[in-house]
Amino acid sequence: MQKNDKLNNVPQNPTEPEENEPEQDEKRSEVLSDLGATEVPQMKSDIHVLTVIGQVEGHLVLPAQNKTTKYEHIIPQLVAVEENPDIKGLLVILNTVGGDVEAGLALAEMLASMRKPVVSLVLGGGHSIGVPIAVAARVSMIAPTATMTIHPIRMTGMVLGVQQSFDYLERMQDRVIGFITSHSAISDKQVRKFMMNTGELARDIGTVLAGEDAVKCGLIDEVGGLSEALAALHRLINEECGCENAGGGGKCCGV
Amino acid sequence: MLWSVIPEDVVLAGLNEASEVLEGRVGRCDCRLRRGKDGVCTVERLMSTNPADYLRAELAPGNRIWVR
Repeated sequence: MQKNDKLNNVPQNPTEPEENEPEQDEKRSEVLSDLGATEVPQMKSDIHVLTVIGQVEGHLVLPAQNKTTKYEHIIPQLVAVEENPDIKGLLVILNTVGGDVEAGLALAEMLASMRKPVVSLVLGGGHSIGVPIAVAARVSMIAPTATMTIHPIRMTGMVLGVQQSFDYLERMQDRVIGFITSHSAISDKQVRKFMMNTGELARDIGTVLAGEDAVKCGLIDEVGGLSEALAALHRLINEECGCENAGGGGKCCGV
Repeated sequence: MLWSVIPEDVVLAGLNEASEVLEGRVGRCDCRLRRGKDGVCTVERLMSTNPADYLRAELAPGNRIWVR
């Protein structure tokens, strides 16, 4: 690892207004050609969107082929969301394949203990450790086509074949199940039944719950998409605020 | 402890491949960057105690940084 003074010359925030217009145009062209992106009209929103995508990365930096969500970035970001007076609520969008158990549980605990309203929306998939993250929100939603896989926790790397290893694994599993059942309407027995199901997955044991199934068993609150999730979040924000829009799907008064 | 629907050997493939890690200031914030094969750096993590830095989109992990 080395200290590189060259980095001090790195351009600042690329979205900052530039004094020199031609330079700005040139920069826009660069963005367009390099990233295929254009600048979109700016708007001020009172909600913060957090995406939990790919692998939830824990203590191990995963190789570059993985899309990851880094817990060391998300945790202070949640602190910032809680502290920032301009942010009234948090929308968590999940499309995750799982990841590090402790990092995922840390995120879930942080979300569950936030004072500001949090709504989660599972799109595509919210598998494995994505399940406690999804249920940690005050209102959890799942798209009709999204799925959630509940399967047993596994260990990576060298595992000593002794009773203590299995006891540790079981305790870890109890922690996850305990969190899920205390933040959703599903029962402990039902989660364990889903987890140990042998008749569904070809190369694993467990259960895949699609949108409606996840709601029926009490794991997720509602089936919905973006508009329903945003409406739920604005309703929670309005209830917190106590303004005249309380209970409706409209925007909070902003106070 | 990895709990994922993606097989462990797929997730961890290439774990031992070395890549250059740099430290420096980007946008007045101390960062750790990883230099890729194409020479372009990506933000690896922020080293800041200011929570507001973690809301800055340009400092999100994975963001590409051109080092002159």
